[in-house]
This record gives sequence, structure tokens and C-alpha cells, in this order.
Amino acid sequence: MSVDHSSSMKRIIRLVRRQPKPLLYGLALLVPFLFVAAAPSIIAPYSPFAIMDVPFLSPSATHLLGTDEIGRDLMSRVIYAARADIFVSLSAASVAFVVGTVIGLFSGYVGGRIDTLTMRLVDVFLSFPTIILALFLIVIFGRAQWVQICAIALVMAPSMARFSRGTGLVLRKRGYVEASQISGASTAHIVRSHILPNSMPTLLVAASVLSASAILIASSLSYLGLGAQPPSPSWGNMLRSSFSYVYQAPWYGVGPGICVSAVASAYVLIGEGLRRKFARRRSMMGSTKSLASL
Amino acid sequence: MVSSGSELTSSERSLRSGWRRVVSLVVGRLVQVALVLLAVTLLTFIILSAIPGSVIDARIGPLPNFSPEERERIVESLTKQLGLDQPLWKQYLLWLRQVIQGDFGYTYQGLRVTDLISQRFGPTVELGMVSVVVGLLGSLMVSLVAFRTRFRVVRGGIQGVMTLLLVMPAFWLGLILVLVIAVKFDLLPSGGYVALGDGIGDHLRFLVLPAMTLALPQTALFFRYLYAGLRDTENASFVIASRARGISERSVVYRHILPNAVLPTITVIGLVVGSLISGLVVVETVFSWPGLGSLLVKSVEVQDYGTVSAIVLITATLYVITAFIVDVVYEIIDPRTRRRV
Repeated sequence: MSVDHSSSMKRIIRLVRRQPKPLLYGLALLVPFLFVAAAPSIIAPYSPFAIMDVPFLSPSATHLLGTDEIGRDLMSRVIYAARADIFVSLSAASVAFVVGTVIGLFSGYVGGRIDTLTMRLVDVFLSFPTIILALFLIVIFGRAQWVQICAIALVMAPSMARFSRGTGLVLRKRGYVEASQISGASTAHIVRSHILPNSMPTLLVAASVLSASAILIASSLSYLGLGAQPPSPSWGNMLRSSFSYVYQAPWYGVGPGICVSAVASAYVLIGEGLRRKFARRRSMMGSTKSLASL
Repeated sequence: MVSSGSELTSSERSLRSGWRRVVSLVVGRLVQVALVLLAVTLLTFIILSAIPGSVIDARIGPLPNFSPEERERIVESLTKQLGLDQPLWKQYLLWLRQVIQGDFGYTYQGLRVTDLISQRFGPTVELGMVSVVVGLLGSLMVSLVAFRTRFRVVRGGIQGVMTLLLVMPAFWLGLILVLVIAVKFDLLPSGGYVALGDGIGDHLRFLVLPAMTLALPQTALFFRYLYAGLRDTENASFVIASRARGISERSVVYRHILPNAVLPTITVIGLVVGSLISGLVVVETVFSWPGLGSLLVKSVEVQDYGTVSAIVLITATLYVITAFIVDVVYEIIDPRTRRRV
């Protein structure tokens, strides 16, 4: 039994070691954050709203990151903030991913007038600088969390569509696609069971780049006061208040700032790792060069 | 110039048809730009007309001291005045005509949006321009250092820092700069603005931190392309040939590799301008810089639709036009795209 157990352990270790390093580092960085976001109450030492001590205590053993302007524990607030920021960015990225991919793959596969029309429409959306379009949507539709998610998703979906269109365009010429066409399969069927599975590797790389920019946009919006409303903590709004107290409490914004960058770089690392992992499929990965536009 | 086509050498002829190609390309792109801009205004109008509650409610504001009859009368007259009784497409055309004439209506305080924006335009353009120039020069220097150095540590360090800069939101980078430069060493003010007329030295002192905060991510973005370009051209046959001819390393790098590496980077400028505009919104808020970005954020806070939509339109227009200029410049600068028939 024990021998069997250790050999399966070995197999797992070998499997893990075979993965590209950036992928491992990225996951190692991201997983704790996901855990914290899922269950902040287990990890946080105090409530994020309770006034624990005098304001502006510097970091110490009882308050690892110090206290804020009304004496709340900053560590607990940073931990609870993970929930808001990670939830918003992940849902926005997922919506953008699904919408963008469906539009892009169909447009690339079908081609012709429909493709041209879709891409011109994408161009129109891409003519608005990201944060500005998001701000515009939020001012019109209000500050609810779902508006925020939709705004970020709408800002990012067009670049995802343009990217996945490229892979659809490449794959439509493949033998198995043509074979499927000849045997009379419907467009929906071909896209779902041939184009989508085969473009998944590149799309996953794009998805991680998308998630990285989603967290940056989400935290920028909450920095600008349009994300989670106080007293609910978010990394962005904590950084915003930290600017008012740079002289009294210089450490105030450091925790939230590191968190935003850590999550964003985790996504970037995962993307880079996935890219290397799938790099064997050269012909497809050539198109990841256009990832920069995401 | 030359009287008949037959006297042209073949290379001259291909060059000439190349120029014709450029002109037709520019005209074609111009039409495209016009169409995109029209679509941008249409989209803005559609989003604007989705405002919950009517525009009139927003105009009258929350003033409760109207009787229902009075209110009805005001609503009726305003509906006529604003053209809201017209069909939607007519409203769009009406609105479009005003926008093209530079008339964006009034804010709640009764200020002309156009006046408000033109006051804020200068500081934003200044900050943006300075940061692009600094970012370009910085990335040129940094990528050349990373390319030419013999030490892997230096190269790795530069690459690490540049990658890190790409995942730093502007307000976090700004905070670090403020903490180090303004709080710790007290070298520069942590935010604010002094008009150029009130002393050039002070003006520049207030400019440095926001410009740096904007320029650093751009440096990182340009670096990625420049450095990749340098590495790609290094193995080109003409580089190997010039090395084989014994041309000095300095000359090989600066006269043969660099120009070819810079070319593809130009196409990224359009991309950078997009992120620059988004960055300006945040950075101006961080450093209380009185530009369009901070005006936008303030208008969003007080739900001033007129000002917000005006700024959205202006930035989108600027963005589309920059992308167009970059495309054309690239076409003209790179002789290869011209000679290809």
C-alpha cells in the first residue's frame, strides 16, 4: 500500500515538475488569494468594520499592517477586500471571455461580410480608451456591482473577439474542419466541437492576460470611487484613502498595492506558463503575438 | 518631371507607383476613420439616451418646490426646447450638429461644457506629451543597455523591473513615488499644479511626479517591443554581413540594428496612446492635476452626463486620429512598404 502511495506521489511530483516554471509560480501566487477571497472570515484576525484601536498605528504584532484613519485593522480590511476585487475581476474576465470568444470564433470561421461587419463594430468599441468607456457606462447605469462587471466586460470583450477571430480564421482551413463541412455539419456544430476545442490553448493564454487587465481596471475603478462603496473595503478605495494620509501613515497603502500587483502578476505568469506549455503547437501560437493588443 | 513613362527606370517606376499606393491607402484609411468616428458618436448617443429617468428630470434637478401643474408646464417647454418630441434619429442629427460645432451643452451649474473643457485641455496635453517623450527616450536607453550589456544580471534585472511595471496600476506606482520622493526625501511636492505663468521652476517641480508615474509603464511597454526588435534584428543577414566587414560594434548597433528595431515599435505607439489616456484619468486624480482626466472623474461623481459624454467623445476622437497618423507615418517611414507593388 505504502509503496503504491509513494509511487503515485512521485508521479504527481513528476507531473508538477514537468510544468513550465512560470505556470507554477503563478498558481502558487494566485491560489492563496483565491482561498482568502473565498473565506476571508477564517483568515482575517478581526472584523473589517470594527474599530479596534487608535487610528494610524504603525504595523505591529497585534495589527500586522497597522490601523487606518478610524482605527480599523488594515490587515483584516486587505483580506476582506480580496473578495470584492477578485470577484469583480474574475466575473468580468469570464463574461468578456465567453462573449468575445463566441463572437470572434464565429466571425472568423464564417468570414465574408459578417466578419467584416463584426470587426468594424469591434473597431468602434476599441476606439474608446478602456477606463473612459467603463466610466461612461457606470455614470449612465449606476454604481451597482453588476454594472461594474458588465462595464469592464464590455470594455474587454472586443479585444478578445478580435483575438479569437484570428484563431478561427486559421482553423477554418484545417482538414478536419473541411471534412466536417463536407459531411454536412452545421456551423454551430463545427464551431463548438472543432474550432473551440482546438483554439482552447491560445484562448486560455488570452484569458489569463484578460484577467490581469481586468484586475487592474477593476482596482482603478474602485480607486476612482466607483467600485465597492465605503465602508466596504476594496484595494482600490483603500489606496485612495491612503493618499490623504501619506504623511501620517505612509504604510497605509502598501498592503493593498502589493496585493493588486501580486494578483495581476500571478495572471501574467500563468499566461506565460501556458504559452510555453502549448508552444509545441507552433502554427497556432504564432498568433499569440497579437496578444499585446488585449 | 519626366515626359514619358518609358524613360523611367524600373526602380523609379516602382517607387512612383509605390507613392500612389500610399496616397490611395491614406484616402482609404481617412474614409474609414470618418466612418468609425460617426459610429463612435452614434454609440455615445445611444448610451446617453439610455439614462434612467428622463433628461428633463436631470435638468430640473431634485428641486421639490414646483407644483405638479408647474412641473408639467416646465417639462413640456423643455421637451420642445431640447427637441425631445422629435423622433430619435432626428434627435441624433440635432445633437451631432451641435457636437461638430463644438457645442456640448451646459453643466448643472449652467457653465458651458466647452469652456470647462478648453480650460482643462492644456494641462492634460502637456502631461501626456511629456510622459510620451520621456517614456520613449527612457525605453530607448533601457533597451539599449539591456541589449549591449555583457552582464546577465543587468539584463535580467532590467527585464524584471520592466515586467513588474506592467502589472502596477498607476495609483500604486504613484503612491510609491510619492512615498519615496515626496514623503521620505521631501524633494518634490506630492501633488498639485502651478500654472506656467506663475513660475516655470515651480511648474516643472509639480510636473515631475505625475509625468514619471505616466512615463514608467510606457517605458515598460515600449521596452518590450524595442528589446524584442533588437534581438530579432541581431541575427539578420545584413547585421552578420556588416560585422563580417569589420564595422565597429557601436556602428553596427546604432546604424544597422537600431533603425530596424525601432520601426515595428512605431506601430505600438497607437496602443500606448490608448493606455496613456486611461492612465491620465487615474494619474491626474492621484496628483490633483487640473486636466481633462480629473474633470472626468469629478463629473462622474456628480453625474454630469454632458461633460462626461463630451470628454468621452473627445478622447475617442483623439485616439482614432492618433492611430490613423501612426499608420500613415509608418507607411511613409518604412521604404519597404512603399516599394512593394
